[in-house]
Amino acid sequence: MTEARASSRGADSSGRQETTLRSTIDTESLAEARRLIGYDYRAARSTIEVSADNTRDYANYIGSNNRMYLDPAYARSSRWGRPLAPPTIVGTSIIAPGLRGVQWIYGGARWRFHRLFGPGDVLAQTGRLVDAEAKSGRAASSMIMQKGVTSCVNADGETVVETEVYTMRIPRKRASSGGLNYAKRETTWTVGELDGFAERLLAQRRLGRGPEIRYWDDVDVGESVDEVLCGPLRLSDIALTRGTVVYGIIGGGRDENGGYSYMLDHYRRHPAHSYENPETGVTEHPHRGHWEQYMADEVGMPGIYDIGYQRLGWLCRVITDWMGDDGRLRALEGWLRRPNVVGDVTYVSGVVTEKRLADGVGTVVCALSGKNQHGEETVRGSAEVELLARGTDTEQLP
Amino acid sequence: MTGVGFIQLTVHNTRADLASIRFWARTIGERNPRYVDASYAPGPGGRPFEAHPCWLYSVHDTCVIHGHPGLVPVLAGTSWSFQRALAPGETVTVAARLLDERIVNGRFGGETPVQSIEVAYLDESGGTVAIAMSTVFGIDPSRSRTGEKFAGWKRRRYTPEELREIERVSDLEGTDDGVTSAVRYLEDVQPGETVAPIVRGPLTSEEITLYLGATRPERSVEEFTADRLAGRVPAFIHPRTGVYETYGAGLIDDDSAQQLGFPAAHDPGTDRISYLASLVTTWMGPAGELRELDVRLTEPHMLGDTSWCRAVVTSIDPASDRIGRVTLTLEVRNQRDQVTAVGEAEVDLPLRVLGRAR
Repeated sequence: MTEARASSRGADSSGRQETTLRSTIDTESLAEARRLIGYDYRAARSTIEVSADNTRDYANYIGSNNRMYLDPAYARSSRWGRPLAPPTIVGTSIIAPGLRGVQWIYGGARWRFHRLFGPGDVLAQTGRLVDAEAKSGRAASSMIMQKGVTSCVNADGETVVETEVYTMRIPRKRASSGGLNYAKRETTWTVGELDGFAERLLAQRRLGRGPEIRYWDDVDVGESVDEVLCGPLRLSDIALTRGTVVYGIIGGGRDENGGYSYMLDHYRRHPAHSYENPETGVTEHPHRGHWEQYMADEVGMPGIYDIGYQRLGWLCRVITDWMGDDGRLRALEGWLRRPNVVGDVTYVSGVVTEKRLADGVGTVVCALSGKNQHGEETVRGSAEVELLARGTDTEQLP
Repeated sequence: MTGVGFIQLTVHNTRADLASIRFWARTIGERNPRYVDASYAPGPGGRPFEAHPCWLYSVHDTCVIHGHPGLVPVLAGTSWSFQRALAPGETVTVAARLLDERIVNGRFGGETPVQSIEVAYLDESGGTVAIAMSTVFGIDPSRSRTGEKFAGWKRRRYTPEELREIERVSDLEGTDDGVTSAVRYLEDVQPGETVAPIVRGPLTSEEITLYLGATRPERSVEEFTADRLAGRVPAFIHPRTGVYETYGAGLIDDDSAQQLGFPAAHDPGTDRISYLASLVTTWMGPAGELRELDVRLTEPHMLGDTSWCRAVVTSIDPASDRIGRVTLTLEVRNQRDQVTAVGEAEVDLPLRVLGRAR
């Protein structure tokens, strides 16, 4: 008989959990944030089985109806000869150890895509913390940015995706100093405005370029990337999909992801990842601010806020729709600038900033930006895309 | 009255991938290595790593109301018949039928259609893996939101002692005399025997988001909008966020749940049915096979509620020289000691001495 797991929930929890909500950043925090630099980070270690099912789920998550992801027969007849997954489906594990009770806010990521991948691939992901530095900004007077890197390797040992992941560590609102200080705001739309969004959402399902080749020769610097409406953000876009992406796909191979006793084990190992629900007295996780007002307020957000992965996924969706089936996304980066809260809309657009040609491979760089209904930029990024040059023999391309 | 016949369903999982099997089982708190550990090596006679019987809910959760696009489906129970277990890598499709529709006249919801939906889960060669027959109520939000079915309901605070007891029983699961590793033989089972209880709770939004993510994630806002405009799915404007929402948001959000007459965010029901399956599969050991599971949900569980799952052996039938069938009655009680689900399960267990029991 196995020894029962040690008890922690409900015993001496309230004082500890209250403290974790109020944890702040002090003179020793930076050293603590840097303490695990270089170590293999266990929570980033994962085996990711890319399947037709989770590819469809992720495409759905980022609003993509790209047939290269959703229609295997169609994808097999493409230049690539196989179905693909949206490239940003992997690599974005948060790597932010230490700083008990200081909130994690996803800051952004920078991907390099070395190889195509899709359903059927099994990727082994590892990650480590590489840097941490103190920052201050308009939203919080003191924070620490932790930088991690992840690497996804396929069954042949080839590196498929490498990612830099940035996480801001910011004290929560009730901390003595340095917490997020966003003013609370609520969004209201008229029925006419909601109808307008709906009309546009349906119309933009046809924005994907599909099999029509976008040639490098035909792209000009300064040219626009079609703007896409993302939102209005629903509670269900966050809470009814996060389990699929954050745990099912990105964390699918990790043993600790699960409900009830798995969460209990997690809280026992990481007591700072918990707080006491004031209504029930039950231990819960502070990331509930992604779908519950109480915790969003505690974090200091202006409202229930999105999961940053999704907004970066929107950049991926916009650029892969624009480049067409024969384009290849080589790099993508995205930086979260302001919160995106439930009710908000985001208009994601882009512009070509650079083009170059080498060895028959045309490369285009696009700046990407997402702005909310107030004209505030909430996400900024860029993408590097390979496009076919006219007259290129695709058989000769790598 | 909607005509009976075949209906089209959109499925979620189409393949029992390793990650999908493990993740789904863990979202319901399952600890049995048979369903969560791909490296599980059973002893002689034991079944290998395979999908939890109710993993099939992640293919389709059976909670649909056919022919009433303005109504919201609410599950009242499922009767499962399992033909065989699903191995990793197998693909699954479904064939569904509306078997029956009747109208009930509820005190709070008025005339409400109740449908019997049969979903057959089929393997690659068309063979039946399992059949689920679910009872689904079609709830009219405009009527139910003003009803007072749950008037007086209040979310309750746990005492530290109650939480400690939940932890204690939770910690015991799967450790009690090695029930997940030792074969349970028919000869060792007696009518009236009680099964070691399992507990799932307190239910938090964490569990709900995990479970839904593994079972049936919400579709994109584009697809939701297309269906809403076509009148295929009911929706409401959320009182706080100001945007159209699916009633599914009532599974994690009190305000959304109240749009449908629930007092607070509540469970989907399929999770609770799956807990009862886990209660039985943990008890039956590595050589047992769950054949029938019939569960009726009598009350919803709101966020904060706890599922105490219990079972009693009611009969034993030595069906052949090799195996016998055990019938158990099942129930879930919440922390208020209210019965919130009742049911019955049938399990095949091996005979220790072949032919002896007959």
